[in-house]
Amino acid sequence: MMDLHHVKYSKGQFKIQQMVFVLVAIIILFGIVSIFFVSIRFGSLRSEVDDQRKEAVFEQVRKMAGTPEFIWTSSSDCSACVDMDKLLLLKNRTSYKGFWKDISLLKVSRVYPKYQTEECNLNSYPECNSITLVKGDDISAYESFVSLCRYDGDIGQTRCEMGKIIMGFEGVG
Amino acid sequence: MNRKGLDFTFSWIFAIIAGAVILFSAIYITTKLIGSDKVQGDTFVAAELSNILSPVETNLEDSKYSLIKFTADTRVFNDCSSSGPFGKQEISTASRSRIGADWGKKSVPVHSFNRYVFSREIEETKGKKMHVLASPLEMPFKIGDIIIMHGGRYCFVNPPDDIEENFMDLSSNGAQDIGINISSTMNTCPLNYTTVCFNANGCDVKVNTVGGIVSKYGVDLYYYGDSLELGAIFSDPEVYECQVKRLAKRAGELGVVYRNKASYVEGSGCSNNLVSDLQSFVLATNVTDSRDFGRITQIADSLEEKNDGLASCKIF
Repeated sequence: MMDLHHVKYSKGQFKIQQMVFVLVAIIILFGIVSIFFVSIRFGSLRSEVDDQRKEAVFEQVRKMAGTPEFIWTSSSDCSACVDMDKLLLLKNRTSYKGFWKDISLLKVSRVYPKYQTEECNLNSYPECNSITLVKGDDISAYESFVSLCRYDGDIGQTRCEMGKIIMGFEGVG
Repeated sequence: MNRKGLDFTFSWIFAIIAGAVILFSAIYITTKLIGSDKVQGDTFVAAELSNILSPVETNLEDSKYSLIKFTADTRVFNDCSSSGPFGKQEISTASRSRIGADWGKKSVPVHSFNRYVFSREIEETKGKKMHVLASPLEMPFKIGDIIIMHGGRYCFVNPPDDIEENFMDLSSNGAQDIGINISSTMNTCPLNYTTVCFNANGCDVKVNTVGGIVSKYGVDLYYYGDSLELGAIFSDPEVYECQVKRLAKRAGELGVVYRNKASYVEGSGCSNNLVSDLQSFVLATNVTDSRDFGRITQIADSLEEKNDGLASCKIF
């Protein structure tokens, strides 16, 4: 029978054991450094992506009134005039879902005069305050003042009122 | 026997193997990180380029010129897909840090649904610069902006007066380099430049202004109006045909909105009789290639005429 109390370890076996400990220590060190590096890297990446999204919204909010879906061309040329009739009819078009990429809020709101009904629909229009094309949560919003124009049957011509385009983007979190 | 000369024990072999594994994995990880850093950088360049193209778009102007400067020699990949309600524009980039070095990997694409970039599939900067021309496409209402992006190296031989005047306006009467040479003969064009001839043979690109056809790489591209003419000259055929299909789709969607508007304001006392014409316009926007685009322009001309006749309640 073997006596377990008198097992002899060779010098080679001892060195292997030493090496294994060193290797494990090196791997742990590498792991810690990697985690530290990745956390710093992703932190800066997140803020860069946020900046990119913000920049994209800034650029788009400036130009939105001139896009084919928004622009008012029925009467005199006006670069900051928005066609409210078009927007109302565009609101429920399913094909436009996801059309405005990276924009989580896109809304046109009347500044003056104000009506009691907030959101416009075919029944309340034009005596309502806003048309929301994209609605999202957790957003930072930016505004740009525009003229909201429509054909007014009561006066038989165009009526333009003061309003604003509100656009927002979703943060990376 | 002398055993001192070669004492190569197991621990040595183990140390060498373990050391080599650690060293190689460190080199591999570092290389991968540097590579992904470059792709990440190029992806940001693509995103920034996409953002820069927003202010380039026109509002009520006829056309616009912008110069984009990159920090390194850059390739811009223009990928276009015509599937979905509006199709998709994808822009990605790849850069190289110094001349002669290899190009980096293609970045992650940045996509948009409302942008129409006309260029080669791979457009390369010249002197780290990219020239951008934007002009609106109106038929009869604004459909979108045609954004032409090129790295330079184009030589127009005897272009028609309207094109020459347009280039002169955009370049502030030649004060600004817009990357286009205008020449009276083909022989005076600089070497390695893409030559563009109008109603004449012998150039890389031939424009038939009578038939509205741009021929390049043995393919005929049909255009309608000045914006699409330039779009066809500067694009690869695949890009051009795809963007034209996307523009037709957008025209269709806008046509539906205008048709509904025409019908809606009729209820408010604005008699316009445009509903059926707009419906025909919408049906005509289902195109298979640029040749079919002619159908839309015919209806658009008739629509424009009728709309102009409406005094106080124009639809567009």
